[in-house]
This record gives sequence, structure tokens and C-alpha cells, in this order.
Amino acid sequence: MPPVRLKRWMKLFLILCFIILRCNGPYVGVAHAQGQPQTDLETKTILVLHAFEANVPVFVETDKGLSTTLESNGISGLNQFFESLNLRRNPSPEYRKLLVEQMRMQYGRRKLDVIVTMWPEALEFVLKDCRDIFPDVPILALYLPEGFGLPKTNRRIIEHSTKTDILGTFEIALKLVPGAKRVYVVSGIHEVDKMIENRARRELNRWETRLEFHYLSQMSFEDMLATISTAPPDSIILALVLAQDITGTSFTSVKVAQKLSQVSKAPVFGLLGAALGYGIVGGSLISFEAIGAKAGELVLQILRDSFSSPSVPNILDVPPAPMFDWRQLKRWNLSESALPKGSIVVNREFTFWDLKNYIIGALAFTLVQSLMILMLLAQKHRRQSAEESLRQKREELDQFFNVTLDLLCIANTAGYFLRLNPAWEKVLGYSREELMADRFFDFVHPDDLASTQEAVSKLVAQGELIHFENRYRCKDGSYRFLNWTAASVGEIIYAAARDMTERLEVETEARQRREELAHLARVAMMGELTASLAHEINQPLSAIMSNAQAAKRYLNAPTPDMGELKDIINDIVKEDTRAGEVVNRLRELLKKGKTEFESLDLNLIFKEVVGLLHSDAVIRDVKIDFELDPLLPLVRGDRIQLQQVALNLVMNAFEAMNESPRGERWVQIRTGLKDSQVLAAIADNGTGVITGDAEKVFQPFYTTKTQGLGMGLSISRSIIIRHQGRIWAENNPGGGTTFYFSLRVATDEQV
Amino acid sequence: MKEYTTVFVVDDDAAVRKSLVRLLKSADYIAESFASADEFLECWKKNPVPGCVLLDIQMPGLDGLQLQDKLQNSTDGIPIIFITGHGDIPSSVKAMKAGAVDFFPKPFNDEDLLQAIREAIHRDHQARNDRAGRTAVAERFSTLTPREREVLELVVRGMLNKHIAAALGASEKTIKIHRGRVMEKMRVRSVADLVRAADKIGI
Repeated sequence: MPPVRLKRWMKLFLILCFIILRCNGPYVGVAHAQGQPQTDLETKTILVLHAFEANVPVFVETDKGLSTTLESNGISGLNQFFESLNLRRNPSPEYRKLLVEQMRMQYGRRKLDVIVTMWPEALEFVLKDCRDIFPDVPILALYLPEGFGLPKTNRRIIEHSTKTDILGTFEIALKLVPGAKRVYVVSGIHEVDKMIENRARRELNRWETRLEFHYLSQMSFEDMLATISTAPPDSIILALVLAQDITGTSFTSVKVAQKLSQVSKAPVFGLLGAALGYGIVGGSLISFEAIGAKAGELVLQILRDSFSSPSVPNILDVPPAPMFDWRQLKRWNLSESALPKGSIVVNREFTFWDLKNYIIGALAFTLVQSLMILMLLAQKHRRQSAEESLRQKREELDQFFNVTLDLLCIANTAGYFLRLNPAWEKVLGYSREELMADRFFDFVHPDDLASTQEAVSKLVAQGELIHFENRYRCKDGSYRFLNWTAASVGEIIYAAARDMTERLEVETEARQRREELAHLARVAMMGELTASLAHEINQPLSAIMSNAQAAKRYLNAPTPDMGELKDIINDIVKEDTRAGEVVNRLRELLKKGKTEFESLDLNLIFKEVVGLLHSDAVIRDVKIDFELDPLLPLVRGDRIQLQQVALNLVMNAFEAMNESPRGERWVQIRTGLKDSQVLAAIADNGTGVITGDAEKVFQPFYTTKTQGLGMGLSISRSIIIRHQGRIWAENNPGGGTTFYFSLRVATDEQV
Repeated sequence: MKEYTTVFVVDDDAAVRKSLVRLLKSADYIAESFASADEFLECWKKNPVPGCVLLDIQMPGLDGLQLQDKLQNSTDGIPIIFITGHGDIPSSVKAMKAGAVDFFPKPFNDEDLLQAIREAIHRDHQARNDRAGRTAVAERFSTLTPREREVLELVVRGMLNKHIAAALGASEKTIKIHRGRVMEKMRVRSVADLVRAADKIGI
């Protein structure tokens, strides 16, 4: 799978996992501030009065609920005042007076918007002792006992009474402990304690026939504990409210719960949420924090809608809720399935089974995440090593790009260079910026422009181009021959060019040298033939002269013979032509010509050459035999060079017979087609030049003659080789030597 | 035709041959041409008419100099004028030594050539006359008796009768008679004529 697709897939998977975990995970219900803070609420001031010490759980919990609600609605903690009146510990009237003065000092000049009292003593204190300090401030009275008779007053007071749910708690206890035989009821002698116990006795009355009830309120708390410790496990310990035992000692619900739980062998049930977590199993509990929160909401409503608004209720009712301590349920091995619907279970410790979905999810997540991390790491590693090797390759390529002597470039089909290597600057003399500024066609030699444009079109069409040559102009105005190889991808052209200028110059020079050498050899041969050639020219000149003189004489006659004169003139013209031909052939051979290939008749070449050698042959008394194939195909070659070869071979044959007796000297010239090549043979019956290696005679400076450089055969061979032919020599069985050469037949196209 | 003086042209080059014949005819000569020395020799031997030969030195087969040799060795000679495309000195010297009338490198001036031809024909004429004189003397000589030939030889040496008589062991009178017969048979009137005649036949 390509890295890009893998990456995308993994990204999707991660997002999916995250969503699943968010849905199943333990982070449900992230709290957000509710409602919009009211600007006018910011200035409101609330006074909370606790009847007793500040550390009593009921106050702590309630304050928490109340304060949280108020603050989250924009009432700053600075405007919330909490006072604990400590009235239970200090019942003396002096203390109350002092307390009143303290209140006056603290709050007399402060504008209070709402007063929240907790416990009836606090309400009484406000209404009676502080009636001139906070005369009109609305009061929310929390924790009034059931049936509490409000003191006579015209002020509107919102009442709240803590309606403990004894029956609800007991029914739950029975469900959880179905086999219970005894019920131990823990209570105190405080006014509130008694009131609750009385209600308990009424409400639980109907079970007294079935269960053994023990009301322990007439004992000291220590005795209560002793009694409870003896209670068998099939009992229900029902802790009502114990604010004060018979000895006058004050207790908090937390402390009561803790102690009971420590000694009891049976589950303890209670009425107050504050005790939950301190040893009670639970029950239909009053949550102080919930009451505080509800009170807060009511305070806010009073502040917003004004106290007299009909929407503000007279009574704050906060019903109890079934709440349980998971650790106690486990401790007493009580079935969770028996709990009422909607129960709140605190201190839940999660078993692995409970956590199975989370664990499986987490494991799967961890596994998937680990795999993905591994994959990402592997991918990263691969990418890094790929990037590294890519970087290395790029560096390598860059190095080659920079050091190569060839011209490398990237260009576009619009005709501009995009990237050039430094070789361009060295070869052409321009800076790369100069080269990139103009179209590359602008640097091409005008004569090569058309072919270059055609080559670029071909390159774009076919995708590649090889061995295209053109000339590029250098900065100094000279031109360099470049040989191109290129490939194109889309509109991008990748091309490499090699500077062929020097090689071409060397080749040209070598060719010129060869041609010069061949020319020198021809001149030397002509030198040897001077006498013979003079004769060849003298013959027609002589004939012309005689004819002309004869004509002159005829003209002197009284009646010149016009027919004869005409014949004479014709002959003169003919002989002049003949002399001219000899001179032309001579001039051709002496010419310093460039190599020019054409289709040639080798038979004709031999005849012309022998024409030049005629006199020489006569002087040497050499008889020349022709055995020429009349159907000989044409060959492709340079006329002068092949004449030179023929001349050289025939002259060599002449020379070879210098020692032979006159009258026995002959040269045979044969042509024919052999193995689809044109073959020529020049045979003599001379001394035979070959001794040992037949190849040796073609080496430069090899000669058997007293005169001559020994270059003739060497040059002949290089000529034949450049004609893609072959030249060799053999001794004849009957004496003498035969030289052969073969040449390719000209194709029909060439002809 | 037999008796007409003829100029023979021997050249392997047809054009040269033709042009020379034409030139000679324009100068009122009878001319005949041959492509090779052999052809000429064959023809001329059959009918050695008076005249001369224009001979090319370089020819295939029998060349000019070889032909010259052959002609020199024959009893009936013919003057030779050499023509050559080369004009090389060694062959011209050789030709002249061997008795060539002249030697022309091609191309040549017609007046020079015709002059040489006239000269050659003149020589031929003389040679023919010489040859004819020698024949007559030789015939007369052949009529002499051996004794008369002996006497003749001694007379042309300039010996007196009495010395001849002593040398031959004969009388002076006898020698006088022989001497008279020799003079008569040789048809000479003086000893000087006799000496010239004897010289012609190489005595």
C-alpha cells in the first residue's frame, strides 16, 4: 500500500477509536456552567446563619450545595457570608447579646438581600434577637422540624423542613435484609431526635408483630454501641437522628455512623446523606448538599423575581433519595439488585467484570494504538530511510550533474531551460542565468534551427530522441557541435548533449591528412608517369599539327579540296578533344579533392587508367589484357581515389616486370562479380613481390623498388578500407603476382 | 606504283598516321602508312620502292630502333626519319648513330620534316645509284680471270709493272698484257678510275 493511502486510513481509524472511547469512556457528563450570570445578581449579598458549629456535617454539606449553585450563577463568594452561631454550645443570654451586637456591627450597615437560616435556633435568633438589625430581609429557613410552629411575625418566611423518610429507609432495609428478625433503632433526646423517633415508632408499628424492635434512645451512646455490638447478624440497625444523647453529649451524624459501623455485626441504615460513606449502608436519605443546591436555586429565584412574586413558593421541599454505600453493600453481602430503581450508589469500586467493556475497549484501544504506533514508527523509519536514501541519491545525482563534462539540462516544451549544469558555462561561455533568460532555440545556429524545431516536435511526440546534432552559439560568437540525446515527460524535456566540436575537428583533420597523403601519392605517381603522359598528349598534338599544316598546304592550291579540308578539321577537333581528356584526367588526379561518393563503373575506371598508362606500357613493352565483365554492377565510391588504386596497382605490375625479358611482359586486368561483391584482379608475370607475409606489402614504406616511397599500396589499402572493401595479394602459380580488391555493389537507391 | 618514290609512315597511333599521310600528300608525296614495324617490313621487302620511312620509335612489338637494325642489315636499305613523342636523348643518339636521316620530337614543324624527307629521298636516290654502280663494277670484275684479279689488286695498290711481274713470277710483258685486259674488261681508262671501281666493290 502506498504510504499516502496508509496514512489516510490510519488517521480515519484513530478518529473512529477516539469517538468510540469518548462514548463508552468514564468521562461522561463533563460539567459546564449553567445559565447566564445576571449582571444584577453580582451585587446581591446573602447571609447564611448556622445554628451551631460550622463543622457540623449538615452545615458543611448544605453550604457546599448552596455556595456552588450561587457562584455558578454569578454571585461571588465575596458576597456570601457564613456565620455559625454556636448557640448549642453557648446557651447563655449574655452570649446571645454579644452575638447580636456582633451581628449589628458586622451587618448593620450592609444591605443584605436574603438570609438563609439553618436549624430552628438560627431562625429564632434572626426573628427575635435581630429583628431590628435585619427587619425586612427575606428569610429562607432551612431544617425546621416537622410541625414547627413559626413565631408570630408579619415577615414572609419560606420554610423548609427536613422530612426524613423513615418508612422508605426501613422498607429498603427489609428488602436488603429479607431474613431480619430484629431492628435496633438508634436515636437521641434532642427535640429533633425525639420528634423523629416518635414518628418512627408510629410508622414502624405495623412490623412490631413480626420483628423485634429495640429503641435505644434512653441509653448513653456508649451503651448503645455495646448493645449494638451484641446484635446478631440478622438484625437491622436503623440510625435515626442522634444530635444529643441522654448524657447531653452532642453528636454528628457522621460520628454516629462511624461508631455504629465499627461495632455492628449487622448492616446499619440511616436517614441522612451526610452519614453516607461513614459506615451506613444507606437508605432513603436526606442529602444536605442537594438541599443546599435547591436552596441556592430558590435564593436565585427570590433575587430575580422579587420576594413577593407569586412564583416563589412558601415551602421548599426537597424529597429524600435512595442512596447507598457500595462498600457497605459488599461488606454485608447485600444484593444490589434489591435496591430501588434510580438508587445512587457511592464509593463504587469497580470489579473487572464491571470494567470488562472498558477493559476490552481499553485493551483493544491499547492494542490498536500500539499497532498504529508501531506502524507509524515503522512508516516513519521507512520514510526516514527512504528520505535518507533519496537524499543520498539526489546528492549523488547532483554530484554527477555538476561534474559531468556533458551538457545536461531540463527544459520545457515552450523552449526555455529550467535547469542547467555547470558544463554549459564552460562549453558555451554564458552564465546559466543568461542561458535561461532566452529560448534555447535562440542559441541554435540559423542553419540548424529548422531541424532543431523538428527534432523537438519529434521528441515531444515520441518521448525520446537520440543522436541529434546541431550547433550552439557560444558567447564569443563561435559555434560548438552538440550531439543530443533527450527524453520528454509531459512538457518537461530532459536532455544531454556532448560537445563534438573537437572530435569533429580531429576527424576532419585526419580526413584532410589522409586526403593530402593520397594526393601526394598521386602527384608522385604522376611524376613517374611524366614521360608517358607527355607522349599521350604529344600524340594528339602531333596529329593536330600535321593536319593543320596539311590544310594550310591544301588551301594554297588553286582549287582546294573542300571535302578533304572538312575531314581535316574534324580530325583536328577529335584530336584536340583527345588531348583535352588526357589533361583533364591528369588534372583530376592531381587535384586535392574532397572525398565524394558516386556510383561508378569499375571497368571504365580501369580503361581510363590504362589510357594514361598506354605510353608507359609501350615503352616498357608490356602487353595489357582486359578480361572485364560487361555486366559488372556499379560500385559506390570516390572516382579519383579508385582511379588512384587502379593506377597504383597497374603501375606496380609494370614495375614488377622490369627484369622480365621484353616481349614476355603482360598484365591482365580482370573484373567480375563474386559473392555479391565487385572483384577486381590485376595480375602480372613479373618477379613476384610477395616473400612471406602477403600483408607486409601493404605496410607503409614497404618497397622493393629502388625508387618510390613505398606508400602506394598502403594508401590504396586505406582507400579501399574506407570504401568498406578489401584488398589483398597472392603469388601466381606460374610466377608473378595478382592483386585483388573487392567493393560493395551500389544499392539501387544509390544508383 | 612500283617505280614511284614513296614515303612510308609507321606509327601505332592511327591519328598520327593519318595526319602524317595527309601532310605528305599535301606536299605531293606518295605516302603509305603502317600500324607496326612488322607490317611495314613485310610489305617493303616484297616491294622495296625508293623513298624513305617516317618511323615512331615507341611502338608495341618491333620498335623503331629494332626496325632500323633490320633495315641496315638488309642489302636494300631505306633512309629513316625518326619521330617520337618523347624526345629522349639516349634513343635519339642511338638512332642517329645508326644512320637515321633525322630525329623529330612530336609535334614537329612541317617544313623541317619535309626538308628531312627531301634529304632522305635524295640519300635513297644516291644510295640506289651507288648500289647500281657497284653492281656493274662487280659484274665486270666477275669476268676477270684469277690472274687478272691478282694483277688488278696489285695495280690498285700502286705497284709498277716490273714489281708486279716480280711478285707474280711473270715477265713484265705478260703483266702488261694482263693489265691491258683488266683495264678493258673493267671499262676504265686510267688507273685512277680502276682504283675507284675497285673501291666500290671493297677491294
